Amino acid sequence: MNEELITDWFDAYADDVYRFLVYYTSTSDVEDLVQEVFIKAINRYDSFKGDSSPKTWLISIARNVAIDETRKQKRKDWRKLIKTYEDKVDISPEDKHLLNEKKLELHKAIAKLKQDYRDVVILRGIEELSVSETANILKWSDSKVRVTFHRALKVLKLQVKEVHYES
Amino acid sequence: MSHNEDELIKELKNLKSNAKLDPQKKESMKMVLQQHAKKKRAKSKTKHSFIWFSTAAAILICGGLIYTLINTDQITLPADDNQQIEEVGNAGGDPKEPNDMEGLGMEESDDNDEQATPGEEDSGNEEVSQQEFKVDKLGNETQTIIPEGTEEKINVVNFRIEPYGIDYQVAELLNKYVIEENTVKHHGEDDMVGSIRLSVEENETIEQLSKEFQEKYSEEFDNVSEVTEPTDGDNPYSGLTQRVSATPQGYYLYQIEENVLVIQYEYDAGASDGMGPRLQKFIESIR
Repeated sequence: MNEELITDWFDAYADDVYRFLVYYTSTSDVEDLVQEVFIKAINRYDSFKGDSSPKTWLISIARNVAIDETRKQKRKDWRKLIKTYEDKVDISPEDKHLLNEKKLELHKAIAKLKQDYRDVVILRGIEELSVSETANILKWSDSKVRVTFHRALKVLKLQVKEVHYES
Repeated sequence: MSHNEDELIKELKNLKSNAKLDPQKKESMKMVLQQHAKKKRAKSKTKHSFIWFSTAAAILICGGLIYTLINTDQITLPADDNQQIEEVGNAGGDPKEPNDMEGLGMEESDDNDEQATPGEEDSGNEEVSQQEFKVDKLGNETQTIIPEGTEEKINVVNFRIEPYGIDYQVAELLNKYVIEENTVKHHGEDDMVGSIRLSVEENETIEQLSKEFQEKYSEEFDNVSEVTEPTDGDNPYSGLTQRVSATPQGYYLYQIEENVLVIQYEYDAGASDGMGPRLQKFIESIR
């Protein structure tokens, strides 16, 4: 892989990889992991056949890196994580606080899911990748993606406070 | 999909952040990645070069081995195919060649003689050839000799030594022949009559060779004549000869261009009346 190509890929997909890692590890301190993902991409470039898009390929590498990282992670810095949303909305501080709390609860619920469910919720639910892109990253069939996503949502619903959805 | 699921999916979509890497960190990461890519490419290049050179070396070695094998086969095959074979009619013969010329390129071993068994003889294979040295039988003719003052018609056989193109005639009495190494030995039905051996020493001079022969003869025999120019036969070439008095045997060396034709002869003393004139005719026929 030459320098020009990795620069192009980094410019195009570094933020996507960054965000995916944030969702997956539930922390915003993932810069090192982003770099690790791209270093792995350079090292494994010979195995990239071009069947999938570079973004899909990079996210599949990021997923493996994130899984390793999650195993090592002892504590999650939720407050720091929630700060990553702060510049997104233009609402009152109270609403903002409420919204952030909701997001935090949801993040915590996602973090408690088993890996398959977490994968599909992040890729399909948050990243809004297509079924085939998700299937490509997870090396699943399209139908497995659909079924697992459906099941994951059911479990996730139980994890989140009932009151939040009833209101 | 239930209402709750829709709500949940909406909530999940809201989790999508627009967070971005810090531009400064991004630049430094990019630099690191570019350097890593550069290193990786250099390593890969070295690896590929190594593989390429290893493959090329392996191919060269294999090629060399195959070439050597083929070459060896080409050298070996003719030798195997061309075992020394005697002419038909020599089945009962047990040629006992004088083995006193060892070291002069004219030796004949008993083993070689034993290889010329009747089973190996081929009536149609009179021209027995080695890789280069071979003798072609060209035909017969009649010549006149004068043994004991009386004219006598004898049949002679014309031969040519290739690749030197040296022609000579041998009395029919000695028209059996066998090629051993670079020597052709003519003999009769049995070796009691005598034998003449011819060989060609390349890029030699008769003076140099005569020294070697003289030394050898002096060691082997008591009554050896001086080395002289041949007087008992005339041909276009300058030559030197030496003979042993007790038993009729000796050699002739003829300078034919840059090579030397070496002739060694031996015959039974009792047959000297007939063999002397035949040997003379043979010497005169050399061209």
